[in-house]
Amino acid sequence: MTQSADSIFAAKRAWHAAQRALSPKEKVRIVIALQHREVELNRFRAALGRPVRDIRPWSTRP
Amino acid sequence: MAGQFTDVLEVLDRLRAEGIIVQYAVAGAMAVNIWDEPVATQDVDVAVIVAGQHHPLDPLRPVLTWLTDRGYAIEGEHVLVAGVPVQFLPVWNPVVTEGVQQAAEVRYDPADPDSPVLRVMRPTYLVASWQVDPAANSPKRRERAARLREAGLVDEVLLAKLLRKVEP
Repeated sequence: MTQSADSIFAAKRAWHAAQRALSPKEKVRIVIALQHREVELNRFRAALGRPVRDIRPWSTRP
Repeated sequence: MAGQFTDVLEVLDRLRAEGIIVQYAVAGAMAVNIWDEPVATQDVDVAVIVAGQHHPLDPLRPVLTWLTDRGYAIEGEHVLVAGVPVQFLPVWNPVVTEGVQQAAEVRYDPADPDSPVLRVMRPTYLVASWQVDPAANSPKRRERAARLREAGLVDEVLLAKLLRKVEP
């Protein structure tokens, strides 16, 4: 493996570790953002005739 | 106006303070989100040890009565608390009961000293609860278990011990 590949994988591991280490409050904020993203994606899924994911964004603040 | 997620934690604390439940722990996908990277999830599963005597066929009745008396709406299998669908699950086997009792207490917002604490089922207990229940041993939960294992969060020695407790 090249040095640059090593550093890319190391950066990826660090990013995942940083995501994992976020506070519950920050994770709830991300979950709500992802729920809204899923709703957008469902529009594309439906347009493409693919199954949609049953999801409704929480009406709450993190 | 939207509520705040901390309202959910306050309701759980009040259920405990008023003696409706003995203890609770966030379980399911939201618990995995707390331990691992966040992904979109539909609801918040909360495993509860209900206080006192209750009908075995309706173990959540005291919890649901307390919530509906205070105006919380029931939507299917969820109670809507501050805009968050919460599914209360009565503990269903000894591993889950121990998982609730041994849950980690995590400050919701560590930057705020007044932030509430939430109780979260520990990763090894989450995996054990899925493995001992054939109905819960689905591809989705196996994927969640894999995420927790990849993150190095599962104590395999404890897991084996927990699984032995419920061996037929």
